[in-house]
Amino acid sequence: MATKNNKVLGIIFPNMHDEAIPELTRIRTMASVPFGGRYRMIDFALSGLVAAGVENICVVPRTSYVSLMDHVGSGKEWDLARKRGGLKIFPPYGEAGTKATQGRQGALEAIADYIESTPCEHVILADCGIAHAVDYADVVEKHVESGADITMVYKKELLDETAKTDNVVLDVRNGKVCEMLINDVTEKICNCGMWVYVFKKELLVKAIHECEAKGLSEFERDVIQRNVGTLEIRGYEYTGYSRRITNLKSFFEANLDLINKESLAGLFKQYPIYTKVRDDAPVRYAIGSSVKNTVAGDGCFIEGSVEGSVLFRGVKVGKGATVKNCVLMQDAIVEDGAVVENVICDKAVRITAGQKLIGTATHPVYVEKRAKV
Amino acid sequence: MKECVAMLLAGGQGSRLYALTQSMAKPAVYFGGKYRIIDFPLSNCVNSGIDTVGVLTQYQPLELNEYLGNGQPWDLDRLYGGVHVLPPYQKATGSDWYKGTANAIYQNIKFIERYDPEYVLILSGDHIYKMDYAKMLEQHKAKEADITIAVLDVPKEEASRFGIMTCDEEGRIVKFTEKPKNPDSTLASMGIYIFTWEKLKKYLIEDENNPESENDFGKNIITSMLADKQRLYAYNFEGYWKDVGTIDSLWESNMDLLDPNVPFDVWDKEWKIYSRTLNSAPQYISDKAVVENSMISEGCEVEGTIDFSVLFQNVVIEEGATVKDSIIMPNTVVKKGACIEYAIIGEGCTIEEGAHIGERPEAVENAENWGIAVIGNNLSVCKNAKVGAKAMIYNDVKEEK
Repeated sequence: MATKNNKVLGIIFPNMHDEAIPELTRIRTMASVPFGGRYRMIDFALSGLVAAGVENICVVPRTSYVSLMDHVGSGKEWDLARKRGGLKIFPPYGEAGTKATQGRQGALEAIADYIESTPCEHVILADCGIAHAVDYADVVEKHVESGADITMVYKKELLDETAKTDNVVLDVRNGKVCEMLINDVTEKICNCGMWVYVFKKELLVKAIHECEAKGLSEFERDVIQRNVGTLEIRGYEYTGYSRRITNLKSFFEANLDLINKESLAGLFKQYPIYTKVRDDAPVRYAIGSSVKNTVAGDGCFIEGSVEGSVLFRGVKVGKGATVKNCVLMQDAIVEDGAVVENVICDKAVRITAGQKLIGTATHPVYVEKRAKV
Repeated sequence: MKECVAMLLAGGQGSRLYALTQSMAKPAVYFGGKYRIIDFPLSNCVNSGIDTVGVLTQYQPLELNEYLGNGQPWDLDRLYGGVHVLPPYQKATGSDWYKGTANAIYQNIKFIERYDPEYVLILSGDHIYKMDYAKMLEQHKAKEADITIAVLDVPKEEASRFGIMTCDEEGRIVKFTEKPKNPDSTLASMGIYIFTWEKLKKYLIEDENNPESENDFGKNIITSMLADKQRLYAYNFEGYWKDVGTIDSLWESNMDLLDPNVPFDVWDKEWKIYSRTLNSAPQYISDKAVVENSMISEGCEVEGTIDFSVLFQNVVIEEGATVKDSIIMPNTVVKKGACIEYAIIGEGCTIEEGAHIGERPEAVENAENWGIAVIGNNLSVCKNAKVGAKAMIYNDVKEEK
């Protein structure tokens, strides 16, 4: 397992892909979108970096980061409350007349001095829009071995049209990236970028300053794409489990896909995925309850029937209530006799007794945080 | 300074838990799907506003030390105060094991005095209950007591198992009898004491200087305070309280969590029970699983049948396996077709295919031969093995040759 990777700095961008699911990111960042019964999307990036021995991690949010700050706190749940390195959050700051940081390039400009000051040799950049279990240690090892300037992680995937405004497709030959297309519409299986990059630190810092000086603002286009051919850019193929969140429907499906052992193992058994502890009791399956094909976080109290669903921590399902193909987030309550099917309930939603709320598998109904139905 | 410091006696071996306490002290024994026994008094302390706790360890302390760590899961990692593990130690003038409960506190007078407390709360690490010690302290102050003893009204027929307090009408204790044959009261001591520190210190020193003494709180300290006409008061506790010192009581107390008629609720958000949690994936219940009236923790994978049972973290129940009226501790795997009834299975065990552990009471002819079957920690039970009721298994169960 992980030895220390003192030479590596991790940088996480929580707000990239916020626009994919406006319903959920209206009040939070993509990084703090709840996922898989007890996690938030950032847990995968944080836990993956920690598993790779990276002990110096920056999180650079742009907006709506209250829930994110609350979730990551001091970083102690990821063992990142450290005197040397550890977790650092850089909220956007502006002086009069400056704009809040925009995109990866803007975020990197804001922390360029910090990056430069760390003793690391390599920098991993990661987003939170894909649930995956990339072995970052292996990526860095291959990056160092190959002597690459930049290494990009990709997966062979068929993207649907929901991903067409937010994707990177690579042409990789013998491990070398020969072409990089941004937001290319494709209808076949391609090498799709996973928003995980490893850079030599010096190169990254230089590129940030150059773009800043030239007023260039698109990281993928201006820092990477322009340099395909001149820099040594390598591809790293990831073949493990992943789910790309591109809209509410894919979020729904990605959650429900965890209801089988292989998916759970693919995402959670590669290395430990840490998250904020809530000290809930174990799940209570009461007399008269019936539960099949379900994934549940701690603290749930189930008296009714649940099938094919993902229940987050502290969900309550009352007597005679039916929950089918649903994603119910933290502390949602389905009261006695209520029926929900193909529904996504945000945190602390209450479905009152006897109510019926039914979506379809392709168009799940979304109920916003703290709403009472 | 701190107003009140808690001292938690956690050195007990728990010999009546046999295989379950082979390698850990009783307070470290698992309880209720994700907890250990010590989580209850520790969480009670924190929820009652007591942030300084000395944990006195002696028997098999390794597991407990590691579990408590810096106290962070209970919010007891403090700059001043917090949780401190206090094993017996060597002094310039020699060293001693803790000879008795009172002696254990006596040997840690210096620890207590670092906080200059007015009161000291003495707790033990073998009871399951939720209690607001702040209310007890309030009564202690209001009565200007020297010692307040928490008591529980027990059924008359059970009273002879406990230390029994006889009180006058204003709650002052006039008599204390350890396990009386013919009890004249039903108020049983819960082993929870609040002392005014000045008084306790005086009695601890006297007790230590008395070579006849067994250095025990109940037998010696309380008895001599009573003889000296000190102010001893009872604090009436109402609610769930269970000593889980035996296999039967440990099993029953776990099952109580599954009984809606028992007023003990670990889901109460106002009085959380904190514990050091492993980080596990959410639990998975397959389409072939049948789960009835049970409690299941994180990381479990259930594909078999679970009925009236408590599963701890990361337990795997394969397809066709049955678990009824049982407790299965963390990281245990129950393979296809195995059947577990009326049993406690320790952590990290492997129950191979077709094995049968425990029996239902009605399946055993002579009721005296029936009891909960127990498999110790980190053992394996071979394919198609049969482990009868009341068995206590310390070693792997291997195929007969």
